[in-house]
Amino acid sequence: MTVAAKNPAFMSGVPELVVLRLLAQREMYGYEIARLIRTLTNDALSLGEGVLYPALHAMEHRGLVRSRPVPHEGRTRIYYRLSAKGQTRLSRLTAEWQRLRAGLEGILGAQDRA
Amino acid sequence: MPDQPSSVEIREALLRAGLAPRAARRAVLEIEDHYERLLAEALARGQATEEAGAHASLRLGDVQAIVADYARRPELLAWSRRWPALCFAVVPLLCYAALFAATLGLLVALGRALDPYLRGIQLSPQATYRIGLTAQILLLWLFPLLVSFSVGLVAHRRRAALWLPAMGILAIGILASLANVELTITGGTPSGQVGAGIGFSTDTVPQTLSHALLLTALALVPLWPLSRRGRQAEAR
Repeated sequence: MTVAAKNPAFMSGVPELVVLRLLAQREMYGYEIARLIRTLTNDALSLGEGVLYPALHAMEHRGLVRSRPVPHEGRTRIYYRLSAKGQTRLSRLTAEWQRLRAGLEGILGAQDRA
Repeated sequence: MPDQPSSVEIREALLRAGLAPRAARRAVLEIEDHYERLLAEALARGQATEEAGAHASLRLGDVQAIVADYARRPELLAWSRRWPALCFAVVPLLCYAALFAATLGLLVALGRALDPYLRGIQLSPQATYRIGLTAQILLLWLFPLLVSFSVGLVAHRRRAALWLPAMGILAIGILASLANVELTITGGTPSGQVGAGIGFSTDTVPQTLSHALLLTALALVPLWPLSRRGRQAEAR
């Protein structure tokens, strides 16, 4: 079982941060995002990959990402890219998580030293 | 999509969750594409078709969970789901009122433009009666029915419960039954007149009620089988 499955509350905000961070690199479609999350996190963040879409659509609705349809082998594939608003949100989320990580490392480090 | 609900079933579930048809189509497109990529990935690894299908389904996750995730986000739901009273009652009533007013305006403008010609002719009482009756049928029967059918169609496409459009259709029926319109074109001087209003009289309660109920019934009849079919599909 993954971290996500065990601790859904703990994971709050993580998918958004991860998706925004990946889209900051380049334009991607849903499957690419999911595959990268899987690869980069060694499956630690593996959620049911389908729930990526409501999250992406909600982010698009909030103006954090933009999408465009691209014809591909007779079908349409939706590509997402980060918007300026998404970039600002990414910076804020990254700062928050780094602060949290530093706090946790302080606690865990103190326990190790004790 | 083996081991997965079909695209039609996913789309239906998304519509019932409250997504707009276009949003549901797009979600299905993406979910389906994702599944096929997962399947191709598993097949490329040398898994058997059935095993690959099961793997792809597992990776994609439970479709009901995806649908529930959409339903949890009100910003992704159609406005008809977020504000049903506005969508199925207020907007249709305003549409009917606007259509009514615009048609009256058009008739007045047309009357003014044709006045010089009409002053030079004399219409028979029968023709005058027919023109007046046509205007009444158009404004008090056909327009309310047109708006009501549109409400029903929107409700069906959005998989809304039948009672929601029924309330809106009844409201349109009541408004149409309370309205009155008179178009009298006689020719000569004056060549005619247009009048309209809204009011309630205790003397005409049976006529008003029967007008409202008949309009409602006529508009609801085509909705009934659609709603029944929808319930049967949901039960399956």
